Amino acid sequence: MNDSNAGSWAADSAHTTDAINAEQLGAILDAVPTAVVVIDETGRIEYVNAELVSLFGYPRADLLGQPVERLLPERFRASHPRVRARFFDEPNARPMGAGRDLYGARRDGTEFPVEIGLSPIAANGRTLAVAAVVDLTERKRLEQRFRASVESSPVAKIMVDGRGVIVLANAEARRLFGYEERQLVGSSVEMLVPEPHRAVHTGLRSAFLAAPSARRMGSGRDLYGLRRDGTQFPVEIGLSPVSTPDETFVLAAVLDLTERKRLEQRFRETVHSAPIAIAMVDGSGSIVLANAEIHRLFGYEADTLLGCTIDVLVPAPSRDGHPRQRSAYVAHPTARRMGEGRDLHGARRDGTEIPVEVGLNPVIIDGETFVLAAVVDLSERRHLEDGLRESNEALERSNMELQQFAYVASHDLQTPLRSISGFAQLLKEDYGDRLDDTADDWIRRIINGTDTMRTLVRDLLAFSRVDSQAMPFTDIDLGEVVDEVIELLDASIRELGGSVERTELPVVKGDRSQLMQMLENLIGNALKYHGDDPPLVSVSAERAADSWRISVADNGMGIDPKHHERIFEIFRRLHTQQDIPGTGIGLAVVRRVVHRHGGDIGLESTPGEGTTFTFTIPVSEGDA
Amino acid sequence: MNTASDRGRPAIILLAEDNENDVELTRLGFERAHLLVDLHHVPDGEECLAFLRKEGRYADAPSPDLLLLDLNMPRVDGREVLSELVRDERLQHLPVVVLTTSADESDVLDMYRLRCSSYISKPIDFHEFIDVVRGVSDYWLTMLVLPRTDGQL
Repeated sequence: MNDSNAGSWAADSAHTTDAINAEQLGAILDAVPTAVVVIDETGRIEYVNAELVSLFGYPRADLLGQPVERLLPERFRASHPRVRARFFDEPNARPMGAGRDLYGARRDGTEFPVEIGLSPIAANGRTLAVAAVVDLTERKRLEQRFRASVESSPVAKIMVDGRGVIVLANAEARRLFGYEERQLVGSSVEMLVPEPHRAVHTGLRSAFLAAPSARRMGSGRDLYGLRRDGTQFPVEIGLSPVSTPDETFVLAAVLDLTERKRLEQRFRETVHSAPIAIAMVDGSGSIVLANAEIHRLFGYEADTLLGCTIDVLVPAPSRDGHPRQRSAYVAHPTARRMGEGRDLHGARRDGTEIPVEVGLNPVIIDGETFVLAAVVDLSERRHLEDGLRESNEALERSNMELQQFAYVASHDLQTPLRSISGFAQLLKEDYGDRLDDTADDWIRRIINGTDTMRTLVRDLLAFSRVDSQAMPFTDIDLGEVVDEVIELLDASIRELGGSVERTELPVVKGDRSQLMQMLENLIGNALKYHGDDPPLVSVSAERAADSWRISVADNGMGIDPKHHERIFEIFRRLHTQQDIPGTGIGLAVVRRVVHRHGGDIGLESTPGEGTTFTFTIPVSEGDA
Repeated sequence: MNTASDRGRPAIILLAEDNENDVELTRLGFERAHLLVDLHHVPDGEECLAFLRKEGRYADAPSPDLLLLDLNMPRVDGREVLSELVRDERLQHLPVVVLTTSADESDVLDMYRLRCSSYISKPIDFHEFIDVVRGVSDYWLTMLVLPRTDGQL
């Protein structure tokens, strides 16, 4: 502190306030938190207060009487006297620098940003300049931080002053609108607004500043931004006022809706072009989106359903309850089928109803729950189902008729066959010795023919009987059945010198006479198609998971694998009537019986060594 | 005892059969089995009932000791004849042997079981047929005591 210095100029102004003397004024100025320096026209420092001393780091004595340029960074010192002179030429109170950034220099050489207010004062006929120096370091730091945070924001942000001049535009804003920083900052924000809205925008801006509050711009209208290249894009804009002591700015956050609109557009297009009827309703049940197919399905003109309640598509009896069901759904929205288990119907515009299936999906857009309903017209499916059922029934009927036909045909063939056979035998017996050899040969051929036909009719009857004369299933002891078959075939077993053996066999559910017929055919075949050795046939059982595997193995002539597939076909034979007579029906009957009992049959065979037929039959439930 | 053979006359047999060939084979069957029978023939069920009830041109027809009834006949078939017999007191005791083409038809006879004395399948082979005819005759005409037509034993 140098009181004498303070007194030299303060005394001059003492006449303005008699109550305060120079010493007191010095104390007051020293208590002010703003740095103050007083200079004369030559730039000599007349006075500094305590804050200035502390801000610049010089002892007061080192400043008084020195040129004020000492307080400036080196690079500004040379030009300063000229600037100073201009002030003294036209002395009035104003901020120094007029928009330029000002800096002070401390004793240690460090620079810091300052703001300087200048006021002229008259003292003892001289003009002095009082400079109030405010250290902007902190403010600049905060501003820098604000700028940095705005700059790095992923959202485009633009700050505009009260006159609509852009003061800040972050990287994303520059990218979005296609400008460089210098092209934006200092320009009117209207440059980013497409032509038709530009004029209104100025008015809207003023209205916002009159009552600034953070809100969304446009309130429901579609907003567009204008790029440097002239293209427009849909935007959503959030506005917030930013107030400084001097001015209120507006910070606008700009969201590019291009992608969202594109997705929305694609969603709409997808819905519109979907081959199934789709409608989207809002929380109140109003249709906000309805595609061509739903209009067609329900018999409405294009787009006439928009804005209607979805309830119009519900048939009258259910319509009243529908709003309640809708509310319940919106309260717990999940993707599901509507009216699970019930037959749903839709009401067409003309009052007719159509069977439908409805899939519901909640769609949440901006926090509001919409429901997407996909309606499938079941009319065609029902129609097809009915058709399928009818043709199935027709097939079943015709199948039944065929079986019946086969049965009746084979059955009724017996009567004429009996006549032919009977009279041929009588002819042979009574007239055989009275005819010549040719006649005898012919009679023999007739009798042979009737024998073959008798077998054929008998086997065919057995084949058609599998289904047409089927009996309900009962518990059948397969061991007993096989024993009976062995007894039946006893004569031919003896004749061939063979033997038939069996292991323990299970009790199964089945049709006794059919199982007997099947085993008789299998064992009979095993004996009939024997090899050079006497036939040895063994019947055995093996338990698989849910079924028994029953095998009939022989040491017979065997069957070439290339015939395995076909031998089960009816009338399929591997031998001529002359070699080994037969009708080709036996194995067809076997397979049919096995199938009717829910099993399957196959074989393994080595020609010359033997054949093993294995069929499956389900384990009866009691044993499972 | 009052068996048919005891009466010293051929047993009277009525054959209800529409197939002429089967009629002839049956006739020959009895002949070859060396059975002396008085075989009468009607071609359908209607005639059969008329014969048994001695109606119309059958007013003088004899009362048969045995009815051989074919199941499948035109107009009134064997099944209907059986159900008529059940209701007719005078004919209730007449032994009936049903002739079937195959064993399958035996099932449909369940409902007539009480009335149907027995059934036989007509074999295709004539020799087997003769055996069957002989068997039927032996059983029904020899072994059984037949109720007399006049109601006396």
